[in-house]
Amino acid sequence: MTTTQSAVAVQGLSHRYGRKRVLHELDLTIPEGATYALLGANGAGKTTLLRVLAGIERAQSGSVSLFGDRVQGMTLPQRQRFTYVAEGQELPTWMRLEQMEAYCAPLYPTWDATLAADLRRRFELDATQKIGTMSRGERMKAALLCALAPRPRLLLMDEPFTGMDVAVKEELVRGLLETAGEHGWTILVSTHDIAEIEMLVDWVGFLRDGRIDVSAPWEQLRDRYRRVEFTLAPGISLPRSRPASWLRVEQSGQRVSVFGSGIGGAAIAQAMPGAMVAIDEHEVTLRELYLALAKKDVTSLPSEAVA
Amino acid sequence: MNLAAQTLHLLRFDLLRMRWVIAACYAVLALAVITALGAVEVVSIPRASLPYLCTGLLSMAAAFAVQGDSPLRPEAFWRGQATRSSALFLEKSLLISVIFVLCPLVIALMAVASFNLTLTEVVQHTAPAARMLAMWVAVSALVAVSTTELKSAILLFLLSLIGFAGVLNLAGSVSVWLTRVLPSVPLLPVFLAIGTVIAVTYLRGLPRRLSVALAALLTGLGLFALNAKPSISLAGRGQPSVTPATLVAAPESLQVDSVSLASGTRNDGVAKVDVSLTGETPGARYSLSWGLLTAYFANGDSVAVSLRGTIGYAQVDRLVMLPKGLRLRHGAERDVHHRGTLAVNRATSSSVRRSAAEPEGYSLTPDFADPTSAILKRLGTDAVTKVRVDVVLNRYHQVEVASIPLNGDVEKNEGGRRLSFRRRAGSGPDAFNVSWSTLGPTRAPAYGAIENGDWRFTRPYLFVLENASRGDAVVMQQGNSQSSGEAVVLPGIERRYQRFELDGVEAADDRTLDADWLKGATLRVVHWELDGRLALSTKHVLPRR
Repeated sequence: MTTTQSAVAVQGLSHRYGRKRVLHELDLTIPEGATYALLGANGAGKTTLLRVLAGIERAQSGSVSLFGDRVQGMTLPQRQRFTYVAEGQELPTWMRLEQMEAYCAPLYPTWDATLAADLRRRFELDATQKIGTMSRGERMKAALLCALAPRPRLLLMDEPFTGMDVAVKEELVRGLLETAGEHGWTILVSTHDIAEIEMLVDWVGFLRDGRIDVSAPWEQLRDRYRRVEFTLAPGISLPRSRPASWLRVEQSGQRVSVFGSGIGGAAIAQAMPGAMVAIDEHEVTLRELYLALAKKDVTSLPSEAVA
Repeated sequence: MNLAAQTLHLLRFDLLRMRWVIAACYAVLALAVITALGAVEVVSIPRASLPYLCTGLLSMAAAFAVQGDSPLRPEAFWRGQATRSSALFLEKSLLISVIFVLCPLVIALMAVASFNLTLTEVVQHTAPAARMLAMWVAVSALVAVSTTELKSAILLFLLSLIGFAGVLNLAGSVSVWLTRVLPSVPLLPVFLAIGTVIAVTYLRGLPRRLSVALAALLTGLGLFALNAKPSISLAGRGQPSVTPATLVAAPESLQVDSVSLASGTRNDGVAKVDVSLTGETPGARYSLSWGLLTAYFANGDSVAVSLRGTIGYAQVDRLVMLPKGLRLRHGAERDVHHRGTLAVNRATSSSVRRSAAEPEGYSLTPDFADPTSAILKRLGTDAVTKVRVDVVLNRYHQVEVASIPLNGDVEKNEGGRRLSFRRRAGSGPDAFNVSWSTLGPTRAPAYGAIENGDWRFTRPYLFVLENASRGDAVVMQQGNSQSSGEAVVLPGIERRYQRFELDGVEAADDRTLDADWLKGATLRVVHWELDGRLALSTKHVLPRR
């Protein structure tokens, strides 16, 4: 695998806390410039993976590289290429925002004071306000400000939207989109706020049981997966044996919703001639994909979508 | 940003973060220094507790500093930043060693040095404090670096403290460790070990299992100590909550045979005195805890020495808290071994306070700043004529090697050159309750405490040792020696002689009163009155009545 082309390259990463295995032979590649959504259930290992990438946790086995350089033994200039924001990360509550900026600025040679001021204005933050007196959303904005102002080549975010109201999430996502899009940064975000980040991401990875199940461009996944809704004709029921491409089926009365890979209304109508009426075909949302993948056995996934 | 620049950058923000904590520490330190100097009398806070408080605050501040950027806590702010762990380690080391150890010690050194002591003496006085402070700060930093939360660090620190107290025989007084145990601890290897653990934790990340093991070890030590030493108390004196079951029976009598003069058995020499009061019986060891050394000439050709004080009593292998009745004071259960030139009039107390219940009391307040002297105008002088010395060892182990008759009669000395006591009970118009004189080594840990030391008399008296042929005199010690020279952080900070200028007799600079001087001196009770503003006295102030 060529690592120089990738912002993130992980091979065979395993990590455990005591007896609990968190990551197991995990492979992951994120191209530079991608906005990558790392999805997975609670306890899937997302936070651990991000901490290992950020150098906070030491990789117990496997190799982890950022921009071709191994994370372990990273030099300061290499460390300065990325920033890290996490939900549970402590912030210096005793500082005012301007002090926090003054703390962070010298740590990054690429710190852009103009961008910091711009973000402060865009996030509607008061530079003289103490971090400790800020609301949860404001604190996260402040953290994001300090993570974006260095103009990082890679931004690692772990649940950055937890606890925020919808408006703030929208605002942050928009801010991220605008800022990151302008500069072509790579973003790796782990979150459960799937709907909010849908417009942000262009790559999606699904982490389950310490491994990446799916990792593909979002466009590709959206082309591949479809949701088809139809109404069964009176007296007709769904067949017991369904195609393997039907990943998720929901039925409410005679109305049926099928989520699947490579499925389409025409194909379903052909498979069940005369059995259905009112067929609608929808583009899949990230939330639907997440729900389907979270409940589906990995062996049934299309092989080309598996990382 | 290179390593040095990043270190200083981090230090700047840590100082900003901890400015109030540092200010509080230094305020207590200043208070400890000022009270030790005797410039201010602190009524509400026991003076002797200030050094302990100061040490505790500095230790906790060190733990706070480390915990602020814990190397074990993944959520710590610095972990998410492009911060060199080596810079952080250097920054913390710098902060702790300079702000919490070095600067306080420099202040202590300067305070001690203000007594015109030699460098050797200053170092001698300050070294124990340096050892103790550095050790506690290092231990608290070690505890803080091996825990992920401040409250865990505090808990572990307290357990460790108790553990150290138990294992290192810290019963009764922390200063025991200071004076007895700590000097024997090989500090350099200890500091190196602690520093290595901290450095590894910062630079490589302490393995979780090792961290847990370290925490468990310290906790276990504390629990072991709690279990094994139920009598441990950090109070400087008082009755232990639980008397150790292993305490052996106290001896009913104690032969004080090691109090001796190194020289001076002849009538022409009281040059050196060597006081050593230690002994052992099976299972027990005792030593002088504090005492009042008194020497006088008898029959013109010999010198007798008497000691009055408290004997520390302990098991041989480890110290224990003593039963009620044995009042342990600073440095309790330690060998008192002083060697020095005999001198009198060593001031050991900053003041004798006026009591509201005793409106006739006097208050003595030192004032070192003003260069002028007050004049005590002599009204009359009575020679003290007799002293009786005897030895009592009661069942509570309190030893009085010398005691003074309680009834008002003055007992007659047999020679002309001697020190005398006078003590009268009662409430007559010229009665005073406590007075004393001391022959003791100067600038050494305090001798001279007798009872409570509150003067109570209706007419002003001074005990003056006067050498008429040389034309000068010194005033005998006043006040008491409680908490005088035994402070933990600032040991040896004591006032110089109380010296008053009598009318017609010029006051000389501080001097050691040698045997020749003593031979020509006579102890007198001087009735005096004030001439001049005593508030401007260089050495002491006797305020107006």
